[in-house]
Amino acid sequence: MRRNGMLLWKQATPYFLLLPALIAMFGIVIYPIINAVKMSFTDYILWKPQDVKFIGFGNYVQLLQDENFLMSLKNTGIWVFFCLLFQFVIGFVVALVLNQDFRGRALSRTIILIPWVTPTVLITLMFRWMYDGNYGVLNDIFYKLGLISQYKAFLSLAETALSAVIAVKVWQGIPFFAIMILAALQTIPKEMYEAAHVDGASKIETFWTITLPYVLPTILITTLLRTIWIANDVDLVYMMTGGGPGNSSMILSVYTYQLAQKSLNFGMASAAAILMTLILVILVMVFLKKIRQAEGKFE
Amino acid sequence: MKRWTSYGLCLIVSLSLLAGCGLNGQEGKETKINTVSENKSVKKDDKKIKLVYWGQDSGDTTKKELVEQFNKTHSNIEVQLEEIPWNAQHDKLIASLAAQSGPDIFDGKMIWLPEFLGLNAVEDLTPYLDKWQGKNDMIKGVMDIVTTKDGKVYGLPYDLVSQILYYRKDIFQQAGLKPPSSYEELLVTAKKLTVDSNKDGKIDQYGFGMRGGRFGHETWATFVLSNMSEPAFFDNNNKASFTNTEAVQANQLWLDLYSKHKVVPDSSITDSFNEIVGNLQSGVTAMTIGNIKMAGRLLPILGKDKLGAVPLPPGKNGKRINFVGDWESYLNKDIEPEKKEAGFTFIAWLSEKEQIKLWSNGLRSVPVANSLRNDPEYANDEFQQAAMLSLENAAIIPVHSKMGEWTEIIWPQVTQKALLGQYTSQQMMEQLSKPFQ
Repeated sequence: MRRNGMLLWKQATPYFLLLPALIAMFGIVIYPIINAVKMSFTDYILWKPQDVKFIGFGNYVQLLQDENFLMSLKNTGIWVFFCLLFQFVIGFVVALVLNQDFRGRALSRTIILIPWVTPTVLITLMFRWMYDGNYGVLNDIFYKLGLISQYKAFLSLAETALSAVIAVKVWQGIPFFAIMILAALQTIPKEMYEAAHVDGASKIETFWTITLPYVLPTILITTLLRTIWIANDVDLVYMMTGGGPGNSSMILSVYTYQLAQKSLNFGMASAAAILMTLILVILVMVFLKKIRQAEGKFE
Repeated sequence: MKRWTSYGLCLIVSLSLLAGCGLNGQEGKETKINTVSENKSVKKDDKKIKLVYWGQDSGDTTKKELVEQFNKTHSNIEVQLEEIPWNAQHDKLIASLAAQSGPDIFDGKMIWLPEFLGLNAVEDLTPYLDKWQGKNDMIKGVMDIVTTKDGKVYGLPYDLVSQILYYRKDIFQQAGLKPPSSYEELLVTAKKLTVDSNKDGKIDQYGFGMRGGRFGHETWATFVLSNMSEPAFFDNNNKASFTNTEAVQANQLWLDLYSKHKVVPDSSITDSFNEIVGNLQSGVTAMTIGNIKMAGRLLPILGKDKLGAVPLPPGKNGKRINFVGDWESYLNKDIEPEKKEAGFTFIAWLSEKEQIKLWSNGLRSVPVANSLRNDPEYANDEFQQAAMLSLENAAIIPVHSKMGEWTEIIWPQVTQKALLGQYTSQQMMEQLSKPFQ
């Protein structure tokens, strides 16, 4: 009996040790999510607390019929796809370069971090000035290069606003991909490349059969994390364009923020947040499945 | 031994997390009638009533000086000021009042009053006004603005931001032009001043600065209503009348400044306060309609040689239409009676002559006290005179439960879409009137 008690205690020990984390998780994550789900089924206007009532899927139906929500959904897809694509491609190239031996490599590795460590507020201020349609430096450069015949207010035109913000996000996110992939590249044994060289493998064959399999898990997990972070990003878009002009650069996270903070419609905001969470969860599940398949292929 | 140490640490951390949640719950009850200040309760033992005041950021030390002066002259009351940027005041206030942890006194606008009333968060000041001597010195028109349809006053005005027509004296002089005295002249003048000033093949000077970004609705309303012979967006039954033919045509004149005549910069679609100030300062625009606060920002840089102001041109009905910006001081309803009395003492003091004068200096607002109208300091000031003359038909955006959302989101989005050509003028006005139907 004493032995059973000790066994039970031994089995319970990990859960007991996890208790602080679980409490924190419940308080900060689980409870707010449950609350948000509850709110999403109510007509909750913040300044009319006495009029809160259950309306079922009313908020969800209204959202799916809302032109602004649908535009935000479309823009979010564009935002995530292009931010991710360019961050990954350029980050990978930068990592390959930084993995080489050259003079000033240590300094380069430090400088490359600047976009990542610069506060978003500062980045926004900087790029708003650079993009300015009347005296921005980018307009001056493009005009002198003959790329434009008239200064453009990049952040005030429907056709350029979202692209302009994507460019800033790409610039900000390159270092994260570069550093993560560089770290993975550093773990590749040099002997593998020597052996490949001896066997007469070309650079492309070496990349495909040695470099890529080694860094693939890092790439996949980094891409997954960045997908979630980029999709949830509010500050950059909100501060640069506010989702405008019109709603041409509105993404779901900013739309949800506006519903909550400006319209004070917590019911609709919760519904929008839940829908966005569901989309991301589905995306993550598909992604994880692909990761497992890819890992199996390269093993 | 190590294992038991681990268990002990986990228990302590878990208990402290749970205790933290519990304490927050209790504080929520205790602070139901208290504020976010550290000194939450009325301290009767030292006979000084402490009040927390969320005031709009004055951009300098004026508000702080006012509060310090009050505290010095009222030994039984201590006001603790927290300055909030004007564009964050609404969000922060509503969230805190909804959580019943708002300040004792706060600055707000009439368009937010439906939200304050919905939260049952503001004290009716009407009974207090009868005992206040300063009431008779308030400009009648200003008191009319802050009085609700049922005759109640919830906020005491101390800041009134009138629109005026700013212009660059040097640019006008160079072109041999005078500031426009009608809206027809405004368009003609704007066209003449939209030029390639440095002859490099691209337009770099625009005749007019338009505010299509946040809070541009005041200028838009001023412009559009001025171009209507019967200027009104709401009829006698308080129904939105944005879509009547005259309103749609007047709105088209506004849109044409950007899309047809191109007398405003391309960035106008999203330009907000800082951008229109910057454009006028740098000479990108030659004139603009803006509020009196702009003069406070521009004069130190441009000086009176380069910056001028005239009253708004008269509208189609012969009168100057002026949608003013307002700030009032409000008292939290959910505080103890002795704090309410002390709170009213403070906000009434803020709206008295000497304090209004200090606040209005630096061109922060138009003085709302009658006794200051003929003060030489204002009578001889070009900008204050322009502002006071423009108050002929002052009005604020109508108080409506949807107005907060309308000014923050609906107006900017719909207007920007119309400027981009995605809506016609008719469609724009239909979208703008939808929330009020």
